[in-house]
Amino acid sequence: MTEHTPLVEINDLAIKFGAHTAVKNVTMDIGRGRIMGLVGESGSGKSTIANAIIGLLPHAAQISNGSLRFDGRDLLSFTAQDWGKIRGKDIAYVSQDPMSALNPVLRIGEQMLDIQHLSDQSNTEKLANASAALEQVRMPQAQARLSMYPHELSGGQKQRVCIAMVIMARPKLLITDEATTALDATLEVEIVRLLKELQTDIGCTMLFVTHHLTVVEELCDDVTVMYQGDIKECGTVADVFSNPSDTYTRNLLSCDPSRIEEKCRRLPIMSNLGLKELADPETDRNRINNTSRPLLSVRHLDVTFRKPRSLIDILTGKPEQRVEAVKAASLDIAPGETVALIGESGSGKSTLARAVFRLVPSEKGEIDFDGTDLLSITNAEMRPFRNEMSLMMQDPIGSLSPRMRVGTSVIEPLIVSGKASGLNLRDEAIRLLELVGLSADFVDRYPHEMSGGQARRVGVARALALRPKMIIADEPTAGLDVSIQGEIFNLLAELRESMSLSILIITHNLHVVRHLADRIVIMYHGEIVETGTTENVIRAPKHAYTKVLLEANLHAKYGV
Amino acid sequence: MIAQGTNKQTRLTRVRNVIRKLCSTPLGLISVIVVTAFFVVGITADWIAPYDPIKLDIPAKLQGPTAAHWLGTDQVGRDVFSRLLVGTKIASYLAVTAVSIALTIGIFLGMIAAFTSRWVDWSMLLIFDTVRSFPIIMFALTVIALFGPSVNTIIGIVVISTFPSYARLVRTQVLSLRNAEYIEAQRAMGASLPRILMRHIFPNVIGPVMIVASMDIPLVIGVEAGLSFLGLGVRPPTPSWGTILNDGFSFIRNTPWIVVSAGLPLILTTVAFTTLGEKLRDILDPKLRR
Repeated sequence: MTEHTPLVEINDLAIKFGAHTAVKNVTMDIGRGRIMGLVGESGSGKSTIANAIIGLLPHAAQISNGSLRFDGRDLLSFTAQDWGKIRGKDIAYVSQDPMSALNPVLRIGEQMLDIQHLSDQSNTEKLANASAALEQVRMPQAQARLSMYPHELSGGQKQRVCIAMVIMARPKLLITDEATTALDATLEVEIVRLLKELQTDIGCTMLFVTHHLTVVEELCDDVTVMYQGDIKECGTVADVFSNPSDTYTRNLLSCDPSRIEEKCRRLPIMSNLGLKELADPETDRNRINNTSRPLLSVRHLDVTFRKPRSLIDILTGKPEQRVEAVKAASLDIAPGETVALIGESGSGKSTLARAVFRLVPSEKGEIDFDGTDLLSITNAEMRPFRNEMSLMMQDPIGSLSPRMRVGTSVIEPLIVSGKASGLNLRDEAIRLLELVGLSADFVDRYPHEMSGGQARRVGVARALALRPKMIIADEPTAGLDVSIQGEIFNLLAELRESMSLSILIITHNLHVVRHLADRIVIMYHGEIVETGTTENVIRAPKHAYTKVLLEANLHAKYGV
Repeated sequence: MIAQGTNKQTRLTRVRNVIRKLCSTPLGLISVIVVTAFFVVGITADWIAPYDPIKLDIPAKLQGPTAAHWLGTDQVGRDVFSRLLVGTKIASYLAVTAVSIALTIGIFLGMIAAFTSRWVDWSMLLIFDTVRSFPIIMFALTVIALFGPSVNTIIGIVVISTFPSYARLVRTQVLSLRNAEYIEAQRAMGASLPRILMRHIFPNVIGPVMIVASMDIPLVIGVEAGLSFLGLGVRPPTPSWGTILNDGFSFIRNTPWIVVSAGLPLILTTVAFTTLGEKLRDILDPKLRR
């Protein structure tokens, strides 16, 4: 076809799931050689469009209107055989999770050979192609990687392999669905840079589906903003980001905490943009009670995991395999203070939290909570302390018992601690849910009947049931949309003021916590490498890793 | 707990929904009808049987189906239909008792194996696998040779040979749940082990186990019929599907209806229970649920 028509032409496309319309009469073009970013909240229909272009819509989906053309050909009239000829060759797809996209029992080289099974080249030539592709994705020691298994690579390297596999066929269109979401900030930057370089190297067109605005701004030429199945705005990145014409886009941009330079006490949210309230140093100082001793004081804590030895290992005298997850970590939290513990995945930050609750055994060190060393007391003596601190797990839905109603889950801590007698439990459940801004009818819902943000609120309600002195929140905003992130943080900020809570937030997202946290603690490979007030750490990072992290996290443009 | 009333109500509607879904396909409907009939007949057999199943009537022997004897008579003139009904009683009694005993032992041991030390776990697994590696018929013959044939012996054989599979299933399920975030959240709250096991793990484990159990019922019925057919199960003159088959087998050339009338329900219930189990699995599997 001619070089002047767009590569993908979507005209008036509507996709239905039963009675629910996921995509409403969408018209969108992707120009040749352009990188198109498709942004929107979860459930906005962006993945549905990506799946429609590669013909992988679920069976329940029904295209009720419109046309979808790729390179001048009508995709809607394609048979299974037609798709077989075009998928992987002309249109390639990189999925969200590099961990599950590769076959764990095959070497990288075998998987990259396998994907070329249609070509009649010899295996040596195919292997040469594979190693060339790995070099193209800037994989260090490409040749050696071919004989490795996926588990021997890091997450970022796995995603590189996935990208190398799809670009071997020189596709005309590369679709990536949240390809950087599962990666840490530092890795995300690497992959984004790589995609950008690839685009100039092999000149393919790209559709980049994400909910992460900063990445789009960095990587894409064009951007399409979706909301509830509708396209709200479409244009070049420069135009849309500097001068959004649509209200939704404008609101979305103003809600992104990474775009708010000043430290905020309340973050603006979609439903209430006026909520933005700047942080007041005076209030913050009053909130923190620095005069008394710290509420939680962790001193030189070591947590070591041992791999159990089998009988044969013991008989042959094979040494025990040990993994030092936390090494000599020290950390203080004052009453009323909010501390952010930041590090990449695998840095031991969640393990540290679990060790405080004695969910994992500590090797040595001290965990002093309100004057008592938690490591030197028995399990029974530990029980009252479990009422004074709460742990919010990472997965909002997965941390609620799936066969239990929300109302029952929320008051579980009361029952477990034996404080339920004399209370009307249903009323108590409603009170707690209303405290976190959920209506009373949530009492009878099941965890799977809620969205991630709602389940997260339930998690907060449960953490507050016993009026604890401290909450440890493990990735409280992971997987949530920008605006919902803000809501959860505002909720925590409100609660810490009204209940004088100490909060430890574990996260890898610097953008958001810098508004909320009084102090930042950076963890790297099991060690705490830097501690300081939020302002100091962001303005003048000392440790090399902190610098890398800041560079990856905060856009240079926003002055930090 | 809170809202006991509404909880019960919705649990009832959930059961009703499952039954409605079961009955929505012809195969599901048939298996529900057959299984219900199996148990109803099993319970009421003594009242609905038209004749005494062990009363001899030599002159009327080996009659074909008539209005008086719907399924004819056997070699000593006993009414085959009545014998079949009372045989159903034995079969359903065996199925329910043996499977529920095996289930209880299996769940208990499976949870212990998953939640205690590695050494206990390993030794229990060794025992489970040893028991499972026995061929069931050889095992049955040995046990019967030692203790003599009786209904209780059959129950014992079935329990011993099936509980390891429940225990293994429960153990794997518990192991995968043990590190789930909601279980860890319970531990962080300070919930006791019995509470975690009963309130949070048991409800999530019981579903798959019940499905396996419903598929195991045909096995029990088959073992009983097989052993009785060999003369090693239920003692004559007590009727059971196996003894009826055995009786009819000698006369299969001239009077095939005796074998047919015992064989057909045997096949039908076996298929019905297996289908029911499979349908239940499809309906209850949260991954297949929309």
